[in-house]
Amino acid sequence: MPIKKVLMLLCLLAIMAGCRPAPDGTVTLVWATNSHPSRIDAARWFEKQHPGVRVEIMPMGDSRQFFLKCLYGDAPDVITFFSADTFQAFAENGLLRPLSGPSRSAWPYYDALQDYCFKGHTDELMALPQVAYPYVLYVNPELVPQEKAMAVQSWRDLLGLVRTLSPAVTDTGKPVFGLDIQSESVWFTTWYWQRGGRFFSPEGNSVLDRDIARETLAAMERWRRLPGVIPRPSDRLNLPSSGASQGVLGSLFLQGRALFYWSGSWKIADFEAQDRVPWQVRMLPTGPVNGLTVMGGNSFGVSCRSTHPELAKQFVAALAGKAAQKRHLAHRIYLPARKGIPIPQSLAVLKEQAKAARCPEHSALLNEALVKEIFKQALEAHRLGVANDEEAAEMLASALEAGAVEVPRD
Amino acid sequence: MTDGPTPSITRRLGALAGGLGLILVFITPFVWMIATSLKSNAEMFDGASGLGMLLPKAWRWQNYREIFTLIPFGRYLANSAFTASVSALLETGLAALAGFGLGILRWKGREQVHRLLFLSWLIPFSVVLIPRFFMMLQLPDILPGTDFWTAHRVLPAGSHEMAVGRLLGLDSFFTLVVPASVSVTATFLLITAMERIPHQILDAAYLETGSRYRVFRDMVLPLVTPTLVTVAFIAFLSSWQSFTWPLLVTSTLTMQTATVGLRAFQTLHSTQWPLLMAGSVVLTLPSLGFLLLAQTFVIDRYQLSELTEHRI
Amino acid sequence: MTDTRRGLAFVAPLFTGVVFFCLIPAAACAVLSLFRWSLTSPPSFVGLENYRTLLGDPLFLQAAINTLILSLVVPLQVAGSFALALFLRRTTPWHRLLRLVVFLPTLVSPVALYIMWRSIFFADMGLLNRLLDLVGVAAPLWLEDPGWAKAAVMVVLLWESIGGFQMLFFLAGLRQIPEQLHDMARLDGLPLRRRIRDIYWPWMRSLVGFNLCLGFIGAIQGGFEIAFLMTGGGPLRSTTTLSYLLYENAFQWQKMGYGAAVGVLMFLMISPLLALKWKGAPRD
Repeated sequence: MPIKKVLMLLCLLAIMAGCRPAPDGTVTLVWATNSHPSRIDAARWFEKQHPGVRVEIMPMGDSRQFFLKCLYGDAPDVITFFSADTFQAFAENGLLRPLSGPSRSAWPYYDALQDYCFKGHTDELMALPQVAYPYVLYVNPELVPQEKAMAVQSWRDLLGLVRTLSPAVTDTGKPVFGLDIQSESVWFTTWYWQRGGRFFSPEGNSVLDRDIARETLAAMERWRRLPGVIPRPSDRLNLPSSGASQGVLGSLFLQGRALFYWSGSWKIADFEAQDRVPWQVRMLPTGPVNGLTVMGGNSFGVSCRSTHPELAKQFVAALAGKAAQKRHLAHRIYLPARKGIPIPQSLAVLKEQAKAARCPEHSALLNEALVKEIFKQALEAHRLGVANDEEAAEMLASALEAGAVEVPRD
Repeated sequence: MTDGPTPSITRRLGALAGGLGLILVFITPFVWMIATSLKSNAEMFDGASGLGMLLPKAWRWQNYREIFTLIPFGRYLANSAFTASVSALLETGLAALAGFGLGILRWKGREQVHRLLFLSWLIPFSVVLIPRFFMMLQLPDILPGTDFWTAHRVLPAGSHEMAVGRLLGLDSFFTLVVPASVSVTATFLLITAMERIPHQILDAAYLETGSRYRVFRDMVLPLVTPTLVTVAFIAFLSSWQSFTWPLLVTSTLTMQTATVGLRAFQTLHSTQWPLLMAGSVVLTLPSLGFLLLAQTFVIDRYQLSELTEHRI
Repeated sequence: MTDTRRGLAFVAPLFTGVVFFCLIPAAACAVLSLFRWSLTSPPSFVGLENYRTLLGDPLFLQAAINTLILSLVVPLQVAGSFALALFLRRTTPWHRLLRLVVFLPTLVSPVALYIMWRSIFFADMGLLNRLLDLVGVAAPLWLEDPGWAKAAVMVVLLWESIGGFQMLFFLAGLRQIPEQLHDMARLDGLPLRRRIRDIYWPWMRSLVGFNLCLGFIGAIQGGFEIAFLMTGGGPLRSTTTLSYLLYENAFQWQKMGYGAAVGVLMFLMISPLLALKWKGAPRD
């Protein structure tokens, strides 16, 4: 009996061997990206403009696994980058083709996006940007009087304001928090920068300043200790969002349970889609030394193993061009990478914020998944109280210097 | 067959309570899973207490439709089903052939091969994972005609074409099916089963037909059918449920299996729990179906005598 | 029927498979562990350097400890399977139903199970904490608490395997004990404990031993899927198992040689158990 089955198997294999490769009439561009409607829209738009071209969307999983696949010849034609360090990893390892486009001095996009497009500190352009996602402060105007919200300049002002307004409860009796922060590592990075710290030198060595790190962590701890200001992770719920955002932790704000919400501009699509809670955006407060903030974004690159490099380059240029950016706005994705594209007046502050923002630092010497893990472990240890300010700062610094994840020592 | 003297009332009640307890512990999570799959997103975090947790307010059957429209879940299920069936067949076939060769035939070098197989049985998965991955990755490059092996293939099916991945390398059914179908456990199971067949019958049959293969096909296989079915069932199940290997070797939308594809709900639309649960429920159904089919062979008439001999 | 060529022909397909997919990769892994390779630069030979770093790496030690602690679920599991087999050995319809019920987790894909249990363990909105809330018990944060995450993982591991194939083994083993022995013992009024000790245990002892051995091997080697899907390595790495560490090192941080070394060390850790399994090898 098994012989028959083995024979059937061989027949199947023969059928498969006989199937033809994809038909030659159309040219297929493989685009690795997430499957958001705006992507599908962009793909169809390009197909309409270039008959005979088919754009196939390839889902991107874990970015490092994707890196692995690209390295071994599985590469798509066009790759979307969601973080600057992933882009840098690809660029530095020779996985991308150089593009022709604007130079650093004649850059029509937000300056911070250069980290998403130029390899390292050189002038080699290897990707073109699509959107900029500055981190901003969302305000609930029902709970926070307008003038007071706009009067806040520094973090201390914010804290003072929050303390005068709390404790507050919603009508269902649930507590209202002062400031919901989406990402702990963004929190740490921003406050560390705003105290004048830097993470990496241009060569990629760690230059983490232990004292500034310690002060930052101490400040974070002070804020955490105040009741009703910063919610615990278990205070948060996971309401979904159908927009471009991933991993919604902003639901507290969307439930009317937070006065301020520190998150990125990609959530605006969700906020606009709901009418339960009113909201406004304002600039993030400044710190003791400067007012730098974090910014995210997207960019597109052409892989060096692309079988249609010219077409792929055209696609990328089209996506970064004015027409595509305006189309992208129709999906309420803020903020288009080009500085000149008009956006609604109520969101004008986003542009200001984007000009003052910077992308998170990366190092050419360290694997970015590793760096993320290092930060995560150190910050988590600090949050859970397993490591105090001094120890956590030391953990972070030595981990970055050694290039290996550290665990809190007992 | 009697079950012994009638047990006392307290014992019966105790047994009943125990049974109900088991049902509670094992069924409740599934009820929760099904209930969550029928809720809407907002309702899931509504905080209803009491029985409200387990009963959705509005039964959102369209969740089950949505999982098929938002991601190609149907395709994922088909991939899983295909991989699991082919893997089961292949594994059973290989094991049966090898079992016959080692269990029934006597030849020079048999002992050494048996020992070598046993040695490889001891090798754990974590050790072979990384090299296997690279081996399957590099295979098309080693063979002549790399492009032939790595071109994406389509099968014409009615009006459109169905992508069937590559022939070799990443995103190919070969890579999904073949490495996992080499199972020494199944071989040993079958060896033990076949060893119990009396030699005289087989020798007589061989004298009659003159072909070992025919003895294998016509005499031995029917005699070990229950074990074959068991082996096939276990092979199907373990391939259906496998996660790590498909995670590493598939990347395109069309080639992922259902276990890996389910994760898409976690990254695509920021963890839509109801959809995730609905997908999990759908993932379970074929296994249940297969179980009901194999119930008579496996759970109640589990042919363990061969296994216990083999283990002890 | 003796003929070397024929015998080899039957065994050849499986044997080639085994050589290519088990033996060669195992050797390759051992060799790879002597190199440092990050995929984008050529591999460089470092000898036993990886092992030296590994044995001093607190992350590895923590993963090893986590794995060993999680493997403590194995004796519980074997005992539980045994108890269930004992409890459910009759062939009445009620017992058949119960056997099906406890076998369910084995059927359902572990991926679906882990995702389900993750939602059950949500700190506020999960089923477990809501139930505990009803009863008025202050519930821990489960998967967000480094202390409790391991317990949660152990609960899931126990739940998913207690009614599975191991129970079937024990069932079939128990069925071999003649029914009269059962009845005589009960008629004599022997309490359960003595019955287990005098009647069941001698028959089942080797079976239990074998399952324990197999269970420990599986526990030390496995645990990747649950760590990946349910806890992501756990708060503060409290549920990072060795297999998860291997995956991270090889496929996320691209430290191929280091990952291979983790694999080899895992093999060395289970080798005493494997030696036991060898001793219990099939009689020829």
